[in-house]
Amino acid sequence: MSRSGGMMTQRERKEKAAPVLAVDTQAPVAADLHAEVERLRRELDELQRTDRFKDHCLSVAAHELATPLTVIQAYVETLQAKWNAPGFDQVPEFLHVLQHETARLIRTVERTLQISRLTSANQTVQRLPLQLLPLISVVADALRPLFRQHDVRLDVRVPDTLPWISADRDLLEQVFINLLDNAVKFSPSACTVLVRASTSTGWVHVEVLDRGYGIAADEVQHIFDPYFRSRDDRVGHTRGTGLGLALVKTVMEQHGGRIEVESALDRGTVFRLALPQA
Amino acid sequence: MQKRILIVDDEEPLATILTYALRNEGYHVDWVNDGMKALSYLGVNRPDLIIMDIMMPNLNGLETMRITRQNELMEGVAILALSAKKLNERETHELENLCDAYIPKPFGVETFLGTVSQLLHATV
Repeated sequence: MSRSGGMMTQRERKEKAAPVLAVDTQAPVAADLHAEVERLRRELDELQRTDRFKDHCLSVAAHELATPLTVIQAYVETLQAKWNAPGFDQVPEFLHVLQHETARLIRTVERTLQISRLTSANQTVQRLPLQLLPLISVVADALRPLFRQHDVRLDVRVPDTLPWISADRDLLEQVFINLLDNAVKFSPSACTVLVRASTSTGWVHVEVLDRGYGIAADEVQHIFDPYFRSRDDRVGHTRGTGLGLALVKTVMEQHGGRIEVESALDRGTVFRLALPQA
Repeated sequence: MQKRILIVDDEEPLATILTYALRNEGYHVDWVNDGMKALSYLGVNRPDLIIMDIMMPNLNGLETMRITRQNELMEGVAILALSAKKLNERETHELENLCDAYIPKPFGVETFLGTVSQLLHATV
């Protein structure tokens, strides 16, 4: 309301309008615009980087799917041709390969979809308060036969006094399954894999430590890349999907956590996880 | 005389079935699982045909072929490349210069054996 009781005088209108039109307010507006342009540029760079990354993943995924498909096709064609041939006694062996390659194909597709779902914009994880010791114990118990098979000892030193965390139980179990599966594969017989936990302000820390083959320096930076596999042939001929550690990193990020890796060839590897306390 | 073939592929199940199919056709087949081992093999052996995967650990197929093609002793040796890798323009051009034939994965055994036969007859 103006003092003249409804209508503003020309002077009043000028006075009221002046602060809005004042020249010295242009600088903040320009600065805001500049900041907005910069923000959009950064967003565009990020989108282009993500787009290139997705192209790369698609290309590698095609390779990962085409190779087992080639194996399956070749074994099926050979079985069809030789099934009734005299002296052909490799049916069980061929069926075993077919089963193995089909399972590998299914794992690759499932993990690719799992990572894709977790990284999609509207995906939220179902978090509940939980304690790490029972979760890690369940995973450790499930994997003990695998450790015995490789003659590797599993030592779990996780206190039952850790603070609660808020996490998706299934996803976090998958994290420890993948890390321990990785550790046992990279450990020669008679080695020990150690899982230990500690706390700092607001965080719960877990280390998965092995004294195995370690990772070459030029491979460490790629260890969380989808479809990356170590070229170390001491790991054995059983090929994984190359998605286990990529999934671990994705899950940690979805929980507001962190994961780091430190490794030295022939000395071992330690994965350090940090999860926010509930 | 029995033709000698070297398979260079880190995929053991694939190498096994290709070896099986080739031996059934009467070829002598050896297998190594990376490029470095292939170069060691080629230091003391001269096969009639090399079957080379592109994506491999240690030394990939393109690098292995590049080094092999510089070896005068390997002159006349045919190379068949296998890969599922999506190649860029530069890689495609290089591959065309390095190998005699290329089969993209996935492929069938008949296509594979037909290409091998053609390449070996061409090198007689």
